[in-house]
Amino acid sequence: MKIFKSLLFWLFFVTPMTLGTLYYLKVASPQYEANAHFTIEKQGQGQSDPLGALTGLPGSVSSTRDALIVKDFIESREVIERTKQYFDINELYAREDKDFLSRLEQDSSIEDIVEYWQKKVNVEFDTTSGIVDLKVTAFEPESAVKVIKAILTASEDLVNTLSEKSRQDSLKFARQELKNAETKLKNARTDVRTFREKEQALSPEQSAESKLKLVEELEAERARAEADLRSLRLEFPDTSRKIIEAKNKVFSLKKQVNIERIRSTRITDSTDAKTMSSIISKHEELLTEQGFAEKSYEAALLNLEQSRIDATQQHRYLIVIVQPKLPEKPSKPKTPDDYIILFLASLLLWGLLGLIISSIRDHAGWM
Amino acid sequence: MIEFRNVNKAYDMANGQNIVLKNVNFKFPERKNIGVLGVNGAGKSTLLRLIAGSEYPDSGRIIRKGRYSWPLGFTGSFHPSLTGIENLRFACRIYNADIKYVTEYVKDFSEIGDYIYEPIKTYSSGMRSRLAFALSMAIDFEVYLVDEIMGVGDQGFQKKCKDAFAAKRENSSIIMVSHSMATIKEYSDVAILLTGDNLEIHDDVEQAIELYSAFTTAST
Amino acid sequence: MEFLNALNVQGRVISALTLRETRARYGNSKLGFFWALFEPFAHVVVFIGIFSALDRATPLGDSMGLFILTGIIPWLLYSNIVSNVTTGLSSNKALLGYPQVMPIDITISRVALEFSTLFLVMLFFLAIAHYMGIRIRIDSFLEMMKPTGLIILLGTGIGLINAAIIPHYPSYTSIFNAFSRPLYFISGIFFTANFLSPEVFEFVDFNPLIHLIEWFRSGYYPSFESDLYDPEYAVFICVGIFTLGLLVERLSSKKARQV
Repeated sequence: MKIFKSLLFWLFFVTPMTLGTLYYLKVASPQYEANAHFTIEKQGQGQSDPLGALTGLPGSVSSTRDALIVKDFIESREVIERTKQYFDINELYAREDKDFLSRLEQDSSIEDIVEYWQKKVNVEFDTTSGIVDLKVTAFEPESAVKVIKAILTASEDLVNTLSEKSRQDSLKFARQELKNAETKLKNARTDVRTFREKEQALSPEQSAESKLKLVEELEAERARAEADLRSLRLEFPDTSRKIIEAKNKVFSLKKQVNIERIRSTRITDSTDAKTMSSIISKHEELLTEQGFAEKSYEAALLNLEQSRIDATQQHRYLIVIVQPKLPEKPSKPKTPDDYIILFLASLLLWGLLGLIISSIRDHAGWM
Repeated sequence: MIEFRNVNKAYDMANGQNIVLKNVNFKFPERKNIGVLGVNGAGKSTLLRLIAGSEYPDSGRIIRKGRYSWPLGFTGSFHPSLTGIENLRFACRIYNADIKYVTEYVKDFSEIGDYIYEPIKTYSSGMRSRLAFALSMAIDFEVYLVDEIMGVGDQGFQKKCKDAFAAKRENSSIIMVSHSMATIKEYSDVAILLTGDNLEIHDDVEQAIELYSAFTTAST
Repeated sequence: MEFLNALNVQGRVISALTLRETRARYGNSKLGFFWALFEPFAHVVVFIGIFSALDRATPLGDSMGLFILTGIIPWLLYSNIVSNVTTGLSSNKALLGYPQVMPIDITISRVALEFSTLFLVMLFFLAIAHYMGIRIRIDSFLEMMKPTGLIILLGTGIGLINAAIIPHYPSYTSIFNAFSRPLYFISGIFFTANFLSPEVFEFVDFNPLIHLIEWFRSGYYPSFESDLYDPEYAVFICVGIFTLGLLVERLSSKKARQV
């Protein structure tokens, strides 16, 4: 029993402690950690969020979202592929001279590389300040800085692409609207022009009016002629030449008035029975349509302008607050912490196994 | 085989602690019927329960090998809301005994009839003891631990118990606690005297009884 | 040799106890298994009701019922194990009269029964869902079983600690209940941590159950990637609590035996 207990102790407490200590002292390759702080700013955000300034809550949902998008990006396979031009992950991490626990195995599959990458890269987002804290571990200080700079460049590209895309998207709609309004206006104007050309008048209302005026003038002339005739009758006999002339004038004027009256109710002499008023109402309709088209064109123009302003406000960009600096002291192995964890883990292993085994051994002695 | 190594055992009483065993190293003789003698309150039943394993020493170890019964006459092992048959099956499973054989044996021996299908809590204490005794007879133990068993049931049943025991003695041994010197004399090959904090073995039962009698009269 | 013999005895004891527990729970009345099915069913129905009243879509997959089920089963596993282990000893004290029956065996048999029950319940509901035309697609059975194992360790550990404390401080029961009831609402049963704002998540992050339920769900749902659960934290907490529970049990079980 005594032997058994000490065997357990040596096997599951002393051994892991010794192995762990050996690893930390002799095997573990030093690793350096570089870090950078950045934030994703949005133009015009300062004024538009007084609540955020008051409460210290995150500025807006979308800037939090942008930061989370970048965080997700940095932890993904995408970032490894996009930073390929700056460094070779295999060259930096898959190295025989580094310890077997912290290096990347050679010829790893891309899934394994991503998994390894996620261990080396640590992104934390602070919601109150909106600052993203990016940490990268590598075997040399220079490599850590190199990797972190590459990540920052790739992230900046991502933010710019995203920003440009959302800008284009919001402008695209406004532009489309404007284009539609333009076409509508053009069509309305063409309609009015064709109508007028077809009715052979610049303006149907105007021609009707002038015809009525003509009738009125003729009437007035006729009245004058009749008055003349009456005064001539007082001086001359009915058969005199002057009276006959005046009579003829009145008669022809009367005839003319009648003709013009009929004419004024018809736009042309053509045989179609369209009345003047229906032509006028059609014309008015076309004009109203043209008016509408003009108004909506103006609105679309304004909208595009507003969208342009909005789009500039939606412009997001990545600001690096703390540039990566060369680390001097290795961050790993972090000796006291590592020993505490090692101690706790060994204690747990030994305790658990010991407890389980002695729980079973309690049953010894009965057949 | 049962062996005590550095065993200490005491229990709390109203007026202080009662020490049963103090640093006891003791090897019980094998294949012998053992009678345990001791004054009232010396801890005979405690000793039996220590042997059975239903109580633990305060310190030290008890090494046990073989099929030891639970202390007979002690019926606390039955679960009150399970039926007799369910309790029986449970005991068979943990002792790896043949359920069918044990069921037949117990039905025949205990004389409790259809009560075996009723929950234990409906039993009288006599029925409980008879079931416990029958069960311990049905499961073959190497060593029977007996705590004043012979007072169970009527004359007829007591006779039956004695006969069953007599038959068992062929293959099994007994460790027994009893007030009755006659019973001890009848069943034991050796006697163990519980002296207050130690165990003393006497190969001669008669001599042990004499010593015990002297001891009790001296202390009273 | 001796160890193998002990293992054999313990195996017998545990199987006998498990049979006994099964009979005690499901043998005497049909109500036992009905309740085992009804409890998760009730939770699922209530939440489907609440969610449809709020006109909310299911956070994951295409069946609200399945979403709740994948949260409620681990939760019930945890809370049933805690309550079963806590009360296990007091309701089986008589059986400790058999010397080879150890208190830990009662715990193990109760946990085994609880696990098998909920396993069957889960299968039952998946079968029902399948018949209702809901597509069942389990991403990784192994990834579901890992958190399940940890939940068992966690529940057992807490139950053992409770069982050791309660005899000394009976009022502890109500304190424990007062603290553990709110856990229901912060364990991710009817939401996923991805929907929580980071501040809220930080607040519930200590709770190992939300990690385990998220883990369980990411094992079930092929599309679900919860980046908020931390397996190392969950393993450390669960194994730690379980070990502490075993230790406390060993220190107190000798007393538990004294009649």
